[in-house]
Amino acid sequence: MKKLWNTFSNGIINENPVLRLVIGMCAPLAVTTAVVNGFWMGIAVIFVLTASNALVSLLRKVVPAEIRIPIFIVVIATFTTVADLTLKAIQPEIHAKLGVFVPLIVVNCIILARAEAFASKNNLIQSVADGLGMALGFTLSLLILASIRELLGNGTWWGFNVLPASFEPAVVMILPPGAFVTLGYLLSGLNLITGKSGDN
Amino acid sequence: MQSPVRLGLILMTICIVAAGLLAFTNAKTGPIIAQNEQQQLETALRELLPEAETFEPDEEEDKVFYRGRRGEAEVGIVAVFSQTGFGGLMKLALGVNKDGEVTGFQILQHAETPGLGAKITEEEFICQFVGKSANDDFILGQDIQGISGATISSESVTDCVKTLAAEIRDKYDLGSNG
Repeated sequence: MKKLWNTFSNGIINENPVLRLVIGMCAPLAVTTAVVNGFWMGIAVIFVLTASNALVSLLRKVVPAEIRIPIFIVVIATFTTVADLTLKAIQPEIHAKLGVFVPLIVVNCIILARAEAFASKNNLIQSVADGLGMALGFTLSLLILASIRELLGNGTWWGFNVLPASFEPAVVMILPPGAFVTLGYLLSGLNLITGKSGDN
Repeated sequence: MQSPVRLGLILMTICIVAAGLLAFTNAKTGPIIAQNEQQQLETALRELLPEAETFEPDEEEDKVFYRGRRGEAEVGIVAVFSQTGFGGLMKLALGVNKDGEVTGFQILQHAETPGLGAKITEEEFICQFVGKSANDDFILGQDIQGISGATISSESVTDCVKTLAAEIRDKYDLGSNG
């Protein structure tokens, strides 16, 4: 049980894909202009990562080493397409806003990295815990990034006006440079808290 | 190294299962997606030309004209049209009544910059077009107040409305004496 919890929390804190490993940064930088976009992107990743980890783990004994990568890609692409079509059916407006970034989950390296590094070597329950933890870590990072950017760049949170009318939004925050600035401060802030400095 | 045939067969089996799952998902979500799009279109048509009761599509290469009818009489046209903006293709819909007057305008889809160009979908910008005549000049800065920080998006939308309104007027001979 302890081990399961460690696997699960690993992706949220120690090896948070966005804020610790800094991999798969395309979607985190691009879709975090609004909290609601970050949330739905996170949901899609939670589904794809957990499902692909589960299936890769189940198939780990029948998949020959030589063709494991194409098989992982087929599995991931299938779940991504399922997520894309489902999102389009239940949330057409959000789907239109996220645009190409949902299909791009296929090439998000977190998914393939977890399949290769974890799910193909561990049992089903551990792999699901790992997938859920990693995806939740991803989602939380997106929500933090998007909250900062939407608040400062548009004066709203989840579309609601939360700042006084006298607040003049800094539009740069929801433009691409704002994504890098926010990410930079987040990463350095996190290093400050955890006591890791740049010189190790 | 295992035999290539065996490897191929394993990969094929997995692909067949994947294709099956995708076919299932598509069958489940396809009708909902089509229905959503149809609904969005119908709502837009109704808002753009409230006078009309029925719409009859009249398709051309890159645009669709909907001839709005009330009973037998033709009351106006709604055109659905794509145009390149600042961030990529935009899908616009413009309603013009039989007097050549713009009755409504909507942006159905766009990929403009959030917070800047995306403001073209806001009421404040959109409603400037309503009530204009197809014969008007639609000059940005005079007739239409553009969005600051989003010149290209504003220009693109304004040009598009102007061209389209004129095209509808000529094609269907609307408000020709006005």
